[in-house]
Amino acid sequence: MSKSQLNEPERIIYLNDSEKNLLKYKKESNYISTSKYTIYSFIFIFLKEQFSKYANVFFLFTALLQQIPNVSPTNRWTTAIPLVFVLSVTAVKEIFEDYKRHKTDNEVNNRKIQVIENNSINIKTWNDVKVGDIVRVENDEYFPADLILLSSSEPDTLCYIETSNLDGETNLKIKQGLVETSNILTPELASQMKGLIKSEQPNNRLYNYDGVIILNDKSFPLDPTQLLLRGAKLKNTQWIYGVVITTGHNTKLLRNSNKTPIKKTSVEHMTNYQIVFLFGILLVLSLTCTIGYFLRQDKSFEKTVLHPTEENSFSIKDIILGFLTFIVLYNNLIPISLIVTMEFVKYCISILINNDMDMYYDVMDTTAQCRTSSLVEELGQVEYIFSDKTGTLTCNIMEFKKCSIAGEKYTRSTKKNDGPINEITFDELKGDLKDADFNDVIYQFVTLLSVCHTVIPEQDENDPSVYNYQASSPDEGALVKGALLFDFKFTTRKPHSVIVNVNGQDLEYEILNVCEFNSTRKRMSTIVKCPNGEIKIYCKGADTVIFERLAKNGNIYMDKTIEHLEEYASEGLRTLCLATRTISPEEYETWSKIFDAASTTLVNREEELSKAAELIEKDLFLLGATAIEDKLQDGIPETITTLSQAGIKIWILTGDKQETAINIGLSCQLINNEMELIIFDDEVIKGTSQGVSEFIDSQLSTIKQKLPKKYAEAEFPPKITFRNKWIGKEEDIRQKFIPPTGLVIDGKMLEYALRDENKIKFLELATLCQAVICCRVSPLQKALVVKLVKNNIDAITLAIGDGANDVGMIQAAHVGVGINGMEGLQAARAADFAISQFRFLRKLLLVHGSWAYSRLSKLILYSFYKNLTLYLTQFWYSFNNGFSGQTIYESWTLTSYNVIFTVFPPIVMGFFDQFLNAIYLNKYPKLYKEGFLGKKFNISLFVAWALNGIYHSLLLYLLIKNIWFESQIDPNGDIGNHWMLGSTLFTCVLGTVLLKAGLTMDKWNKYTTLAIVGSYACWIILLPIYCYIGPLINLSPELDGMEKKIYSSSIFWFSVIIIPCVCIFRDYIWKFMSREYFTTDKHVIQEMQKYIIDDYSADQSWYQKAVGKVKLINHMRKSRGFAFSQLESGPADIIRIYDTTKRKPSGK
Amino acid sequence: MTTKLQKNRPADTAFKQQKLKSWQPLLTPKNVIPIFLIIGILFLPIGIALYLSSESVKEIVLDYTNCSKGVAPPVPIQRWTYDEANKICTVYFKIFEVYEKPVYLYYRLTNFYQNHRDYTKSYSPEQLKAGTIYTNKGEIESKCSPLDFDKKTGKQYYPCGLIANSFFSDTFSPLNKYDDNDVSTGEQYIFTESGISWSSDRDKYKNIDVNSLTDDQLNSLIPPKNWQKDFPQYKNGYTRENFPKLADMERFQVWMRVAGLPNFRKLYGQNKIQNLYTGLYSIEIYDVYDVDGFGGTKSVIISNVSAFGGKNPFLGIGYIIIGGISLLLGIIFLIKNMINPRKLGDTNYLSYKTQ
Repeated sequence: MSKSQLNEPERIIYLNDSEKNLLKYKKESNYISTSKYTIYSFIFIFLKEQFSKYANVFFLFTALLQQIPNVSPTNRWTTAIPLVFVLSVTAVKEIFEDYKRHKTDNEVNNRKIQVIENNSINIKTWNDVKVGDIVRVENDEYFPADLILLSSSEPDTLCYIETSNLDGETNLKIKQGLVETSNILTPELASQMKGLIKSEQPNNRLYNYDGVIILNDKSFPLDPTQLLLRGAKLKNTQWIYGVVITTGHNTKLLRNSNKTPIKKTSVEHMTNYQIVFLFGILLVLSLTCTIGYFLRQDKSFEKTVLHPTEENSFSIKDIILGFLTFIVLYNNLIPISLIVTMEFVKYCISILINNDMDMYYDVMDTTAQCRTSSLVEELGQVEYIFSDKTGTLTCNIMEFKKCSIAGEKYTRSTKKNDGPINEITFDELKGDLKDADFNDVIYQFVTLLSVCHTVIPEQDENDPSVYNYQASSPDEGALVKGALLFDFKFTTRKPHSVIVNVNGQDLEYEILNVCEFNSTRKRMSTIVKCPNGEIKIYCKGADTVIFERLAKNGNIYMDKTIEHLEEYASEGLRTLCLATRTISPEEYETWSKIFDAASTTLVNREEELSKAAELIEKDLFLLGATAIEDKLQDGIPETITTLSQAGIKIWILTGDKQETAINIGLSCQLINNEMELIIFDDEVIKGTSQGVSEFIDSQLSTIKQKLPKKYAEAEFPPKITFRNKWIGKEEDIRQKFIPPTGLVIDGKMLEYALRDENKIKFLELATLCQAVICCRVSPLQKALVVKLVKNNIDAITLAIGDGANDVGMIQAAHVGVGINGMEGLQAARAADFAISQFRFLRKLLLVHGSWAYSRLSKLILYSFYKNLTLYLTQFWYSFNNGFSGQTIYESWTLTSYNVIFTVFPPIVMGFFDQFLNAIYLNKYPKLYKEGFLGKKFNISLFVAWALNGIYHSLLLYLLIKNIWFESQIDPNGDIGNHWMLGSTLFTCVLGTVLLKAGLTMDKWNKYTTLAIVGSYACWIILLPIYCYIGPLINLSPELDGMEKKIYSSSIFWFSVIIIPCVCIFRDYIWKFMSREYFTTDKHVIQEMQKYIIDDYSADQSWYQKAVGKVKLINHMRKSRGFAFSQLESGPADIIRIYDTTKRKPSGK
Repeated sequence: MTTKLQKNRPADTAFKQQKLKSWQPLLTPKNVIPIFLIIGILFLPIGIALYLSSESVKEIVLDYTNCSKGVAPPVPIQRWTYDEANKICTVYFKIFEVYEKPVYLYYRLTNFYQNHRDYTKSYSPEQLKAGTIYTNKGEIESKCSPLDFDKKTGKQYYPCGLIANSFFSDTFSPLNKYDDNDVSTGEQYIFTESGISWSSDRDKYKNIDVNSLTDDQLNSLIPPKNWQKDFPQYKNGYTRENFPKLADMERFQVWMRVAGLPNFRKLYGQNKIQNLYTGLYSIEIYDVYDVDGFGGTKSVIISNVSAFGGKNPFLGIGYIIIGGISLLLGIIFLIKNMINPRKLGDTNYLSYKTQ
């Protein structure tokens, strides 16, 4: 964006003046790119990224050092070649991943769109769409850019859009164009439009828009009702015309998806530190040797044998060169292959995750997708999950599940045995209805369902007997569809009547008045004139407001109904109460005058209307209640329970209302009715930052009283101490001391709570609660909440969601998971992992996460260990070669250690190791804790492994030195030389580290066995071949002739058997003893797995849960969510003027 | 559901579903105790055999470092004499047991860093193998520095470099046998040079055909500094008569094959035909090699070998110790496990149950 544009408060878009527009918006195209590289930038960005890793910089440095003559004790290409190899592998992987991104980008950019140019329609690709273009979008097409709706095929310039790409909601939203542009029904008319649009600057606010359209010098305001966002899809509307106002990366959707941040895992961070630490060790070793080298210059050997000619010519230059020599000598303390092995293994793990049958969703034919394979081990360390609700926990399908009519319970379930015996099935109800009179309660109940609503019927094109219902509130849709079950088919909506087909007979209900729903009224009523001439009011709403308005004799079913309502609520069903009353014509006459007057007032119209409604909504007769299930996805409660058992804290962040959010919290068992709920009540807090602050303070002090002093007075947020890094975190057990508490806060209060002065307090309160629900939160707030936790608590966060409104938090969290159920979902695209169902999270975290974490920590620690073991033998050798930097091993042998002989054990460790199998990890979620507490990868383990390496290397060197004694003598009296010593030691080192690999792996299969045994066999076979060929091609002249000597020496064989055994002896006993005497859960469960020992008590938790549920129902006396997810100031008035009988223009 | 609809369905293979047949090696008493016992039972006899075999090797080490200093000789040397004029040290020693053939003569140097980096790289394989005579000073410098050519005369050393220069210059006579009355019997026990280097070593050296050299070429070559000092024949440089035939000098080849540790032995000669019988022997050593300069010692070693090679008790002891410890631990764990076994997979141990 240029500077001049920044200063301009608004963008001016000229209608049908492409030259002017082009001049202004030349640089803005509709081309989008989500890729990381272009062909030209690849090499720069790639190298920049690679050399931001310390290890690579270090190896580059070493490779350069080796080019200085006489510095390198090894061949000068021994670092450069592996480095180039490693970088090439990474580059190939990067190119491959970016190619996929380019492909999807191209697919999107080349979608077709109709653009109107000079009175006709041209087909263009999306990336050719420019600001100011007028486009025609057909039904079921995506909008190519942000558009202002001009006209549509529907009456009153209405159109429906589906925004599942943006917010994951599949219900249709209604948009309406201005009356002034509604007549543009042909391309010719569109081409003749003159005027301009003043639009706001591009921004990322999905729900706001400000603009003005100026036609014929008259200006008309534009608001979000006219705005069609890129990413949304036109539905149930044959076509629309719209003006492009922003394109490409300026559209609100893309403004919301920041460039995917590069995420580094905590393991990677720590690995980076450990590499720095190893570099420190390397410097210490090099310095020690340099000092030794320096001190030895005065020794007589150096003087007499090494410098027989000159006076002591030793200089500073020699010291510096000597130091560099040592750096090169020890450079492989830092394993060059580690980074690439890690990347490779992570990539393999991600492929295994993608191929998991248990995470395959056959309904959609989708598998899990690892989009950022570098994050796999982070899955094993998640401590906080932030979940979206709609589309993530719920299917976004409302189902009319149960109802209570006249004190009787009815249920949808078809099998009688399914529900409790005292419930009547819907089928039976349907039969009863056939014989029912108009004034029977059941008849009235179902009539109310099909008459009192704001749903639009849509006849199916293929099958005229089938009706689709377009409801802006999914609950209402569910109710109307519910009525269908009883053969009450709502078929037609006209501005003043609705037609319901009952048992094949069309009944027209004249709609006289509608008292709309809003959040204070919590009810809606319709006054209708029934086919029999009676005037009736039908009212549905929250139980409390309905109960207040019942007639004295209208509450005969109230007690029963309340009982049923409680039961429904405890099951997490959303309830509504239905009531009716017959109104005498006289009463209606009087009232309608009051209502008409109210509806024409200009000031406080809404209030006046409410007052008017109050007059008629009284003395109602309670028909019963409905129960709608906001259908949870499969396995949600089990998943949430298991994840909670694993110690993971789950927060729900939803755009929904408080009631629905709590409701879902209940039904997915995140909260239960024994829980104390801290609700940030607007009325108490009075909507100020001060109020929120005080509220948090008071709640905190109440809670803290229950905490032991140690915790109550502890600093918050807890400092990241060295101890955390040393042996892992301490478990946060504060919640154990306080009764279960849940926290509920809505977006408005959250805004104050997230302010700098309150946020830490808020976080402390929230972390003390077992469940946190944030409702009515904006996408930005979702991201802020995630960041609040991420930035202040030393914990790994995971955000899961399915809509574009979740993209922010998905990107903010350490790990972002998208639900990829629907096609082309924005969230799944921005996410690091995509799964089809929330329940797959269980396997993803508990199994794949735990495995990946444990595998990678083993891989990394082992890689450090094996390199320390080999290269420290060189250090010990320095003491016996006059600190001269001489290598004990031949150069290429040394290099191939990392590249050939020990490269496979870490890979199979990363690929196949399973400390427990999937079944047991699932059964014992408590084991997951080790992950986020950092028990498997921390500094103490690193130090332990490093010490292990030091111990092994010292032992190896001392043993070989003593066995070798003064030149090993073979049965022919021949003596061995330097390189034979080196090769023997190398064989011993290899044996030791391979044995250690075997000991480290918890599971052996054919591949792991092959990798370990094969690596050793490979060396034994290759050594003589190399000794023969190496000197021939002048690669290793020093090894010449050794192949004949080394294997015929029995000392060699006896050495390579006993030395690794001696080295591994301690490790073996240690491992055995810790299993025997310091038995941990892991040990026990491993044994249970191996010896198939049943654990009957593990099932007790299910029993306890069942008991809990019974208790829950008994205690259920609290909140009951009611089913109205309809937006306030909704489109009810737009809908009511809708006429499904009208014909639609073709627009061409 | 048709397969067409489920084209993304992952293959249900053991590999992809991570259910490969595998073995879970838990270290439980059931398998640990047998392993300890087996290792013990295997290693102990091996260790004993190795140890006995090493003990069967006969070896005598005669440290003659201080022969010229007129001090008393160290054991097991009976006595020594030093001939100042010819620099000959005669060492008398007794052989108490018969040394079965083959018998080898080694010399041993200590504190000599043949593995020093500056030392190991200071030689020219081309010069040795192809008889290259360098015309470019830079070339020889890069190979043999600091002993590449004489700084004053500009003549190049042949063979050049530190390794060749420090070639062990002491020579050993055959062993002279004495009878019980300390009278020489005239019997000699001879160690031969041929066959002491690796066969592969011999390919690395070539004799320069001295007759094909021009006088200028011959004049441009001089013996290494130490050779001029220690070998009388090279005192005045090379002539067509004394020019060294490196391919035949197996002791030189042995020397050039650098040792891995600062205390090392080098093979000097061997006798494959005769046993060395008991009795008093003397050996005359041309004692010129300077070890005091680097604070080391030099010794002569006469030894035979066993089936496992030279004398080396450490390996056998190592096997015995590891075998012994394993056996002991195996028995301790066995007893412990019989008295008070741990129940495997005891769910009562699960920590969240005990809490």
